[in-house]
Amino acid sequence: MALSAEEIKQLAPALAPHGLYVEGDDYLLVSAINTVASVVIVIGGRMVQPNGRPKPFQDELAATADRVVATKAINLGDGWLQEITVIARGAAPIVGQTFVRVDLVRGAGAGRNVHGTLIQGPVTAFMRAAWPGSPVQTTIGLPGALRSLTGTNPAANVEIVETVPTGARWRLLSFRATLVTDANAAAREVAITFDDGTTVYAEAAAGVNQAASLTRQYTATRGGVRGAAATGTGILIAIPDLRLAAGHRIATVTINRQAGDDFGAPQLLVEEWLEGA
Amino acid sequence: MTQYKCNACGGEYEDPLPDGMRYFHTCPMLDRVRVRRDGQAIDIDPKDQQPADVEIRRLSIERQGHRDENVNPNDRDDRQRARIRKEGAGRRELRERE
Repeated sequence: MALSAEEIKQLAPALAPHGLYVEGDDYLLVSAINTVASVVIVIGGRMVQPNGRPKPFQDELAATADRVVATKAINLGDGWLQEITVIARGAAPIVGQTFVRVDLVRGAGAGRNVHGTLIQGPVTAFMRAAWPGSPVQTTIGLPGALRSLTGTNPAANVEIVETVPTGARWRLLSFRATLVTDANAAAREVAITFDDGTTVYAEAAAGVNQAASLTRQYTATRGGVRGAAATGTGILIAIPDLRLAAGHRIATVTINRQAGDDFGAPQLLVEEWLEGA
Repeated sequence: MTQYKCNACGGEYEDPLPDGMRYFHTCPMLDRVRVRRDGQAIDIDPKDQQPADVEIRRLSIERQGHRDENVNPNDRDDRQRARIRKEGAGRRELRERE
């Protein structure tokens, strides 16, 4: 005997005992924060429809590379949501560079109600986040992504300043920059400062001077010991182990800087977490 | 990869960086010191301080045309992309890196 549509609907929970019932006003809200260009978030899964038939779905969200949250609401129709998986495509982010959240919400607009968070965690081009299965994680609960980056090469007589980008949290592991001094006689001393965008909260000085017409490489690293090479050109600055929030700055301050003194572009090794914005 | 030069501070930088991540240039601030000289409070470059000046406070000020490429998540364009915080004097393209 064939079952009526109403009977199938009543039986469907038994067919999909672990599903979440959703209907027309319910959406999956996919949110992503990301730092790598060209990343596309692919979300896929499966529904059991009221007639008992499984129905796969797949959708995409283009993630911006500026750590600002990008979102997309996906309507699933009526039925029992069985499973969801999320993966990154289009580029190859490493763990910590792309983070995804999938919420079950009612309503597609700004006034929507969030019923639950199904997925919250990192994804790569290989590593998926899944519901059910993956734990709901914080963006800063895992080791950060290691980045070696080149900063701005300042003009002569201008100090180096690097700002922690919007939506990021940094731990500075190493900083290296070259200073070429002009012919003016003066005892320069370089220091590294850390500020919150306005006020300096830490400063570490080289402890040695750089005279005229010299080229010196300054390396600032945590756990380092302040000192200068005996015959080489390297100078080591010991810096504290700090976590830097978005907008905080890493800068050089050069006492007795002369008009022709010229820093090169700094190279930074940082551990970076996504905070999102 | 494209190399840019900031029109305000003269700094040169690459965006995006070779690892595919964007770089958000911000101009360095200018150091100034507020001093009392001849009964007047004035802001000067620290190297122009005179022995008789009474230092009131150290200042960190934006240069003319200050540029900050960090994005403002609350300021979006028509395509919902976050705009940079301060266009300032702008930047110019130097060359494309191969």
